[in-house]
Formats: sequence, structure tokens, C-alpha cells
Amino acid sequence: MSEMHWKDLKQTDFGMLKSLADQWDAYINDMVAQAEILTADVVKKHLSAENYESETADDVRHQADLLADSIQDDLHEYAMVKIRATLEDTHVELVECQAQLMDLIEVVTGEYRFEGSSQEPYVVVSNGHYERIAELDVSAALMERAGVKESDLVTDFGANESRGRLIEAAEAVAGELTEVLKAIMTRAHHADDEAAAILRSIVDTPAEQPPPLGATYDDLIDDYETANAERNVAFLQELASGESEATATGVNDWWDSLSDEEQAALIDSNPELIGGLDGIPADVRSPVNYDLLTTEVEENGARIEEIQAQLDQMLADGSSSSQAEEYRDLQMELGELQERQANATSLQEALDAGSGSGEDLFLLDFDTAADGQAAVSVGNPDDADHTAVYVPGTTSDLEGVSGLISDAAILQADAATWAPDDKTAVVMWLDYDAPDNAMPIKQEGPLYPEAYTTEQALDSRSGLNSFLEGMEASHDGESHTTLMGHSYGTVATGATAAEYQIAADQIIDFASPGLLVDTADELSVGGDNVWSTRADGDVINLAVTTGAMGADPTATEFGGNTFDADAIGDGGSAIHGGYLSANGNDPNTARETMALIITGQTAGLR
Amino acid sequence: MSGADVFTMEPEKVHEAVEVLFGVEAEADRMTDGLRTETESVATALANAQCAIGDALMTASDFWCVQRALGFTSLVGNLGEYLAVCAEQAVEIDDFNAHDFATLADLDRYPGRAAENASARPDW
Repeated sequence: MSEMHWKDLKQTDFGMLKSLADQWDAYINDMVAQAEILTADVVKKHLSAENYESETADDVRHQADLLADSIQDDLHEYAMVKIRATLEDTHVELVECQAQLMDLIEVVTGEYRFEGSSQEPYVVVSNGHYERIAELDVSAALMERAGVKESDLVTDFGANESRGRLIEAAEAVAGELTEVLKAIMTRAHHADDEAAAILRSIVDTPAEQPPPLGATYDDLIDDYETANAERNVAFLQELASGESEATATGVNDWWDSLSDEEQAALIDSNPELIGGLDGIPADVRSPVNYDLLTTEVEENGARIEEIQAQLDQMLADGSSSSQAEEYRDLQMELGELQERQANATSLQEALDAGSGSGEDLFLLDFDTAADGQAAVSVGNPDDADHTAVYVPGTTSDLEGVSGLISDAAILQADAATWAPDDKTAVVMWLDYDAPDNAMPIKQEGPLYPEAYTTEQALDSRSGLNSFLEGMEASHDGESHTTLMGHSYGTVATGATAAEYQIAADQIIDFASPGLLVDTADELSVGGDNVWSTRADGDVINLAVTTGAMGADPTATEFGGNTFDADAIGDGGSAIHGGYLSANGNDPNTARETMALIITGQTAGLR
Repeated sequence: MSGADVFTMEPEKVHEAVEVLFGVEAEADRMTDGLRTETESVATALANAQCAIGDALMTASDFWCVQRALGFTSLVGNLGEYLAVCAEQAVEIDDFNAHDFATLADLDRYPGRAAENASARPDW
């Protein structure tokens, strides 16, 4: 348990944690390089079958491969995920706590002082402050807090009475400062204890290492390989559960460290964990997800038929009344399955229809429950020169996924037109619960529209950030990524970019009610890399004027870049949904500009 | 996989593989030693600051440096020694221990290695 005293928090140079994390990082890279020497120089070069062929040679090559694999697995599971990441995360937390403590110390210096143990720190009024109160030499703030006026000090009685009130006020301030100090120390202790727990957990269940070559090798190697496969599954389950410290980058490093056989075994045994895991390459996730979707459609269909027959039978033989509870449960299960099946078939049909442009579609994630969620890429994002992640807004769901994929296909085709020598992929990211409505709906009473609240945008942040990080991690070489949104989707993009240092170079928002910030500089891509547009007559202008979703991103004061959009459609709602539509015989200005931004041709646009 | 009756070998290439393996073993040990020293220094400073992470970091570092990294380099060394005997004997080797390396391998090619490791080996 952390016994860190506030003096320790104040005096310790936690930069050593960051410095050590960097050293572990460098060590991991150097050790991976040594492991690669085993496969490249030993197995493939000096011990190639051309130079050495026999049963022993097979064992030796196999052992060298195993050693290279096992040390890389170890490096990722222990050195990177448990040790390096913990050092880095703890550094961030403790440095922030230290900064808060220093701010508090600056506030209290001269008037209050810290006392107490590491677990029970508190703040008291300093002797000097008591003396100044006795002399009535105090700040205006304390006078105001105590309700003391200059006129109260004119008489001896008034002065004495004021001293009492000033002492009371100062001690009340000390009590409040104690709460602040305790909160800071609690946070620091929590970070310290959590880090210690993770580091200690490293010894809990150490994985087997390969056996040494020798007489018992053949007997031991099978056990080792079985244990190793189980270890991979356990680690995958930990990653997918969200309990792991690994980021999407860590997932990608781990996945790359696995042999082809190990990857295939994991896909075979746990496809549902692989399909949705950020950091796994798109060309792995997509076929896995498509197979899962196909299976779900088949299994749902069979179960729906089964339940329907059961309900029909119960209705016919009267047991729907005598076993009313079972009948109702079956009806509820049927309703849920039918909803899932509608979503699943809608997604499957959209994928089977293709992009319309010849670009392959990649199913990067999906969930058919409730409104349904999915991430579908037009083109492979892992080898694209440019990638855009498009977040659609209110009313988006799997029922309408075909139209959403078409929107992404339009953006992708535009980019291909304006940068024909580059490869561009556009991901339709609906891996969040988009609002169902933007207008009040009267049923039994007026319903507050979901689109008027920030809750769903805030809920999307972690997933969107992880997705972007995973895409960057699995990309071949440097990536150039645009995060873009339409309508409420821009609220999600803004919320995410305000909360995280996102793995994207720029943001495009169109038809935005706001990005939950007051200025473009509050977004982690930097104000110069934020591009906004809104067409005249767009109904969203009504929401913008409320300021409920932050400042108007197209306003000069916002500080980002703006570009023109044609008002396409009749009426505010049609214009709001018309940004990607054809503009009669005229070019669609917004689409052209967005294609140029996505493909990095922004020089002439600023 | 090779058939039971197949045996071809370029002994010089196998020796080169052994040298690479011993090189990896030495380099990985050197890097791990350096990291362990640095980590201990930080762990001590944090423990002195009453941070729970101090002792835990020491535990994790010991686990990594002694159990995992040293385990890895020992296996790499074992593989190298096994191969060195294979290169010298030019036959299939089933049974193997450190004594075999010390007595059968071309130790002139790996000076000091047998003596360096012998005392630490239970099978010597």
C-alpha cells in the first residue's frame, strides 16, 4: 500500500519514471532485433536446409523459431504491456498530482501549512497567519469570506469580534484545503497502488519457456506448444475484455509478434475476440467479421423459425394461457432476435452489394444488438496513402447501413478522382449509439430528442480513439488520416479529439451543431488542421445558435479553417442531408474540397 | 520435415550459426544487465519516497531480468552449444548436456566458453 507522504509527492522527480519507460522501450526494440537475428541469420541463412538437413536440423530450426517467438511474446506481454506501459501511465498520473500539489502549495504559502501522516494529511492555519489576523492584517478575500468590513474595525469591540470571525473563516478555508490535499493524495496513492499491483501481477502466472534441446526435448516440446497456445488465448481474452493495460498499438505489436500458425489458431478458436479488436489488421478482421455475420444470420434464422413454431404450437394447444410466462419470454426472445436479424441481414446485403466503385469493402467491426453498430471501410485502410474515418450522425443505424456505406463510397471515389495516383480508404464508423431523433416526438408526452444531449457523443470517445489508434498501428508505414463527421457525428469527433491525442492529422466537420469546444485549438489535431463547413439554410443552424454543442465551428472566432458548401435540397432538413448528393449539373463544392483535404492537397485552400 | 535417413551438413555454416547464437546470448545479457541496473536505481529512489511502485518495480525487474531474459539467453546458449557439438560430430545428436559441449565441441573456436559456464551447470 502506498505510504507516499505529501512531502514525497512534492520532492520526488517523477521524470525518472518516464526516462525509465523510454529505456525499457529502447531495450524492447533492441531485444526484438536480437530475436529477429535468430530467425533471419540462424534459421534462414546459416542453417538453411541447403546447409544442414536432418531430423536434428529440423529440431534446431524449430527451437530457434520457438525461442524467437517466445521472447517476443514475453517482451510484449511482460516488458511492454506490464512494465513499460505502467511506468509511462504512472508517470503521467503522478506528475499531474504533483502539479496539483504545487498549485495548492502556492495558494497556501504563508497562510496555511500541511500536517499529518501520509494517509491523513490536513491543512492548518499557520502561526504567522494567526498573528496577522490578530493584527487585522489580512487579505480582502478573507475579510469578505468572514463578512468583515473595514467599518467593523473602527471600534475595539468590532475589531475583537472581527478577529474571531476571521479566525473562524481561516480555519474553514483550512478545512476546505484539507479536502483538496486529501483528494490529490488519494489520487496519487491510487495511481501508485494500481501500478504496484500491475507490476506485482507479473509473477502470478509466468508462462512456460521452451525446453532445452537434449534427451527429453521431444517429450517436452508438445507440452510447451500446448501451453503456449493456451497462453495466447488467455492473453487475447485479456485484451478483448478491456482489463489489459495494452493499447491498440500494443495489440498490434503483440499480433505481429505471433507466428502465422499462432495467428491462425487464435482466429480459429476465438474469432469473436479477433474481429472487434483494434490493432488487428483490416485484412484479418474483415473476413473474420464477415464469417461471424454469416453465422449469426444463419443461427438467428434457425432460432426464429424454431421459436415461431413453438409459439404457434402453444397458441394451438392452449398452453399460451396455461404457461403464459414461458409464452411471454419466447415472444420477447423472438422480438429481440428479429431485431438483430433485420440488422444483420441489412449489413450483409449492403456488404454483398459492394461499394459500387470496385473498391473492396472491409467489415472492421459490428454488433447487431439494439440499433446496431458497424465499422466498414471502402478500400483497405492499412495500405492506403490517405484514410478518412467518417462518423455519421443522428438516426444512423444498421437498418440504413447501405446508405451510410454509399456515403463513404462517395467520399472515397471523390478522393480517387482528385488524387488518382494515391490510394484512399474511407471508413464509415458507426461503432457508437447515434441519437435516434433530433426532433421532439409526441407519444404519451413530449420526448426530449437524443440529439440535444451530449451523452452519446461522450460515450463514443474511448471507442473512436481506440479505433483510430488501432488503424495507425496496423497501417503499413506512415499514415495520413482524417477524422470527419456529419451532424451529430461531428459532436462525437470533437468530443474525442478534445479528450484524447487522437491518431489523426486533421478533422473535417460538415453540418455540425458544434464540436463541444469553444475553439479549434482545443482539439488535439490543432486549430490549423480543423476544417468546417455548413450550407446556408441547413436546419442545423437552429442548433448552432443554442451553443449547446459548443461554439460555431464555422465562426471566425473558432479559429479553424472553413470551406464552402452548396445548399443542395429543398428545405432545411433536405439541405442538412444533402452535402454528399449530386448538385444538379454543377459541381458539389464541399465534396471537391473534402476530397482535396483528405488527400492532403490543402495548400490552395487556406 | 527431413526424412529419417537424410543427413547433410556444411559444418562451417553450422559453426557460423553457433557464433551468431553466442553473439545473441552475450548481447541480450549485456542489454538486460544494463536495464536491470537502471531499473534498480529508479526502484530504490521510489521506495525511498515511500512509493509502493518502488518495491513492485524491483520485483518485476527481477522477474524479467532473471527469469525471463536470462531464461531466454540460457536457451539460446544451450542451442548454440548443442549445434557446436552437432557441427563437430556431424551425426544426429539425441542426448545432450553441457559436458558434451565441453568435451566434444571445438573449444578453440569458442575460447573460454566451456570454463565460463561449467561451474554453473548442474549436469557438469
